Amino acid sequence: MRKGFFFSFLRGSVTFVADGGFPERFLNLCNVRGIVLFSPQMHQKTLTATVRRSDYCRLRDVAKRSGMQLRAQEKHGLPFFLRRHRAHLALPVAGAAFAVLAFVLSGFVWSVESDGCARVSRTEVLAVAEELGLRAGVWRKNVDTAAISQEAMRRLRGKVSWFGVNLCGMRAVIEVHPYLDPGEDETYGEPANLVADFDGLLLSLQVHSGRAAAPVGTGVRKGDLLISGVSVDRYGRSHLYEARGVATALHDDVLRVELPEQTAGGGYAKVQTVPALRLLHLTIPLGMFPPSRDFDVFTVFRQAQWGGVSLPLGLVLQTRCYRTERPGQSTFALLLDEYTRAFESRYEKTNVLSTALSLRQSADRYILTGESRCIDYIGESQKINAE
Amino acid sequence: MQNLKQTVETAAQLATDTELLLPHIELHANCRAVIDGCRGIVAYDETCVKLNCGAFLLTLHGDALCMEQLCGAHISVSGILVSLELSSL
Repeated sequence: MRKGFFFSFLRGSVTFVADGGFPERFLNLCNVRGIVLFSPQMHQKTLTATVRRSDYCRLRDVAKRSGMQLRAQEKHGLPFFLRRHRAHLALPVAGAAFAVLAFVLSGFVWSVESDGCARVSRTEVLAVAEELGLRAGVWRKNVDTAAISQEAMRRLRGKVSWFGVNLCGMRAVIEVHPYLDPGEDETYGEPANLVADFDGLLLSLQVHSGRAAAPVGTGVRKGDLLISGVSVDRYGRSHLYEARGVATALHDDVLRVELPEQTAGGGYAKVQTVPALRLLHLTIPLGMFPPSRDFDVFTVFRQAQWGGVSLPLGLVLQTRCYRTERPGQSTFALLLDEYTRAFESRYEKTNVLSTALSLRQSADRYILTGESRCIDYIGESQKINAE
Repeated sequence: MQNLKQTVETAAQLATDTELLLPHIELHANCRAVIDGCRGIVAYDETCVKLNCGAFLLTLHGDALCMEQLCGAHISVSGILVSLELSSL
């Protein structure tokens, strides 16, 4: 019964109670007619057993012949489950639709990820990959990783020494190694430590030369030692060299842009955040928003993740700044342009996870403040005073 | 020919036709009895199970007796077996 539980579940089974009459004759007739009884138990002239759903109808004649009263006690299995929930037909339909959707979606690339490297930013790597046809939403079998790698290495000649595309499930992970001039790796500069240049949560630490001095996953303050350039050998002698490595940290950053009111036409403008759901290429606005196109837009895409896996959907947060009705460019449009320029300049090599914009008007100026949570390269060289 | 068959059966220690027709009773300590070649159930309750084995009547006495399997001539009874009785029909 236990071994065939799955098939028993598919077929369905009925647990019945039979009393009165001649239970032994009932059992013998069942045996002769090939009706299989599971766990028949007799208790005070009452027989309890389980039969397959298809056999239960045949039991009525047997019960009649042996003079027993038959009644179903419990019904198990898929046929009964479906009959019980036939009013909720959407449930199995939704389950089947989910299975089909998961099967179809597993054929696409859900996300393209790269950490970039010291010479090429993550944005640039992803832009090159997109130009070569590798982006979220492409059919996985159409991705020629070798051709993309070769073409990308040709385009980024002099910047990267290796550009590899690995398809890990539904993710495309791009591994990039920076190009090093001949002898560059061997020539070390003056003895120095690598210290944190801002406060943050240390996410990764890759040591190229030196000794790791901060554990990954802990918070570091500005000036804390990340990689030490001092090592002590087994004879107790100290050696100094230049500490090198790549470290990333999570931190919050504030970018503020302000403009005096008289810079442009001025006037009233409204800032509105419009959320939208993005599924592969498809963007679905969440809510009803005015169809006006008279606004400047700043977009942040936050990809959904589950257990460290990027899902093929995410939230798009559009910050719309509506222009004034007066002719000419409004202060807000100028502010937004200024902010966009500053944003691109500051976060060129930064993975920005989220940004919240707020607009404030002081006495004679407008201030646009963006609070961003981002993953950034951390660490600056600090010379060791050997004297 | 008959002699040759008997000789081969004896040499290979095979069960004879007569033996194959008889019921087989297998006991697992005092907790389980497996009977092969049963022709019907005569009585069944928690303390006593009587089975028609053709040539004789097999009675199992015990506590909490339960029929685990009933499939053609194959019957398996579990519980606390106290005694086993063979009697003619």
